[in-house]
Amino acid sequence: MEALNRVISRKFKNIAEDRYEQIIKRYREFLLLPEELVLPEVNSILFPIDRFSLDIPEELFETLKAYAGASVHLIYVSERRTLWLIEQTLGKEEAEKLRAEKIRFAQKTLDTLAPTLKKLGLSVKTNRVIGSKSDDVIEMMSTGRFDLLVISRHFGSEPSKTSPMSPVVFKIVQHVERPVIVY
Amino acid sequence: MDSALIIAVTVFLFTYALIISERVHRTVAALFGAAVVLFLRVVPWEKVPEYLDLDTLFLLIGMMIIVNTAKESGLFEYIAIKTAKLAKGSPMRVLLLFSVATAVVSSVLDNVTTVLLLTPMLIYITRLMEVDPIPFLLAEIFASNIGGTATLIGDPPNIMIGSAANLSFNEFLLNMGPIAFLDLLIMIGIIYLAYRRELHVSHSHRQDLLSVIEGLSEEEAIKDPTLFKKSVVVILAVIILFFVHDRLGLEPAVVALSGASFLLLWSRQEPEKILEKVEWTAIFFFIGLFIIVGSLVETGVIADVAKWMVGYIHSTGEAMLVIAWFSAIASAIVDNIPLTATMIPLIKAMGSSLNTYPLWWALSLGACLGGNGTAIGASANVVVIGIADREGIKITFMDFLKIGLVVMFATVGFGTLVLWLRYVGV
Repeated sequence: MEALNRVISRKFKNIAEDRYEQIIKRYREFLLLPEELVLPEVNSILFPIDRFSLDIPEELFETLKAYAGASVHLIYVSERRTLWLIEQTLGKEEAEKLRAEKIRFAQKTLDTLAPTLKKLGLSVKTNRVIGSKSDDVIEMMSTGRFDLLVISRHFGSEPSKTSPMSPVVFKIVQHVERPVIVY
Repeated sequence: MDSALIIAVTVFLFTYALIISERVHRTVAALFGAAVVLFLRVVPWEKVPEYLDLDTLFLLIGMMIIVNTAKESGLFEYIAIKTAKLAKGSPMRVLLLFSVATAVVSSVLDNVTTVLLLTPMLIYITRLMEVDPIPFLLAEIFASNIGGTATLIGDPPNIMIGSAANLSFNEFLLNMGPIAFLDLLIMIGIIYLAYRRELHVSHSHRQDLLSVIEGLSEEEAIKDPTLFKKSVVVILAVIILFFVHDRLGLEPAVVALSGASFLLLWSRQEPEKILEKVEWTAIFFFIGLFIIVGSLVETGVIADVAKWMVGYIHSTGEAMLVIAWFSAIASAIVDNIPLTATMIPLIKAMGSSLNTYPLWWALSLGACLGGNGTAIGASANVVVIGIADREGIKITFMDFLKIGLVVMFATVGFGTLVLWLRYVGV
């Protein structure tokens, strides 16, 4: 019987697999399941930023207004591996200088962005992290402490003409099970 | 035994085996078989046009162009949503309305396209209702095969039979339409009896369900309102022309091709985009089969089998029963297209000693409804089971066989009874 079930699967592949993929894609544009029709309750938001993701569109702030009352964990993430590479090539002293510079820049960025978010009615907690941009965000989201992830599509790398989303963001959205806003 | 005959029979059986196993694509199998009989000159090149049934090929191409153009407008998704809304969250109404909608659409468009477009909506509705989707999906499969039986253009075997026997759209509708309609009711009855415990939702859940279903907008499914209107107009015009094609002296293929070219002209759709969606693999499958069956005609195999059969069959009534049941059982095992391609010359060869007119209806009945017997009996079965599998719904070969055989025997049995009463009498 298993052989016959395999025949069915082969026949389906030959007859209609490609057409089905197109049709189901079209249906998904306007069919939502009941659970998808209900807006998820958002009480806490993780908002990671870095030097690539500082160009925040006004529309994002408009969207975040809808979550007034929620708490935002705003974190500036610096890549540990970059600092390690600098230490290996230019020495410990240069690496320390760069780290201090990065921390200053991160703090300045957080201090600029946090008041804007507070104005939207969000309570903001800021933090600086030196670690892995993808793994640390995935790990934080996996704890279940956050209901929503807000992330720039350029987080982790310079924007490019060929790729609309950085590989870091691509990896994160593939692993996160909670709703994500990619701006 | 002459070598051409051995080659023709070997190629025929080998191609059939490849088609059943699906080890290679059925089109590749048919084209390879055709290439062998042409290469070895079993079928002389100059006789190829004689064996290629252009009526069937152009009717299929014409209808595929119309369907592909109409599909771009969102017409079929519109039908699916409208059907779901009319059912108002009642499982029994979903079963009934989706079966009727599938049968009606299948009677004018090809079965695979119909089920491909309606199944996602049906699965969606059953998920909302939180009921077992299997009875609904099975009913959809059976309804598609039954609906295809009703008209000349509903199923490829009917197209082939209509072309070979020069039967009109109206003759098909009058002979097969009532059988298909009553078979549809029989099938729904069988599904209801087999799965009646699963066709219920609680009153409170139904209220929640209704609000979600009412929230669906069929207008949202229409991607291109202008194309939508033009597609509806052309499909209706083509159906009307099918009703009068014999009176106008037009072949069904001419009607389909005219409708297709007019829709392309009127809708201003890019022809490259539409024509590349024509199922050329299916068209080449037919071409390969026509040539392989041509090799059986050319070598006299068909004439010999017909002579042998006529030796055992003494009346048209007996022939009708044999053809209906043989083609039904064979269609449950092999694809009904190669089966019909083989049976057509056989019935033609029996014409010298029997009245073949009722035999064409027996062949249509068996070839179209036999496909309901097993999961591999018809393309619509495979497509719905394949989609269900993608959506995490398992319908095994045995699950299908248990209910499929009941439906097949009941519908073919009822059909042969009607044909017997009509053409043989009590």
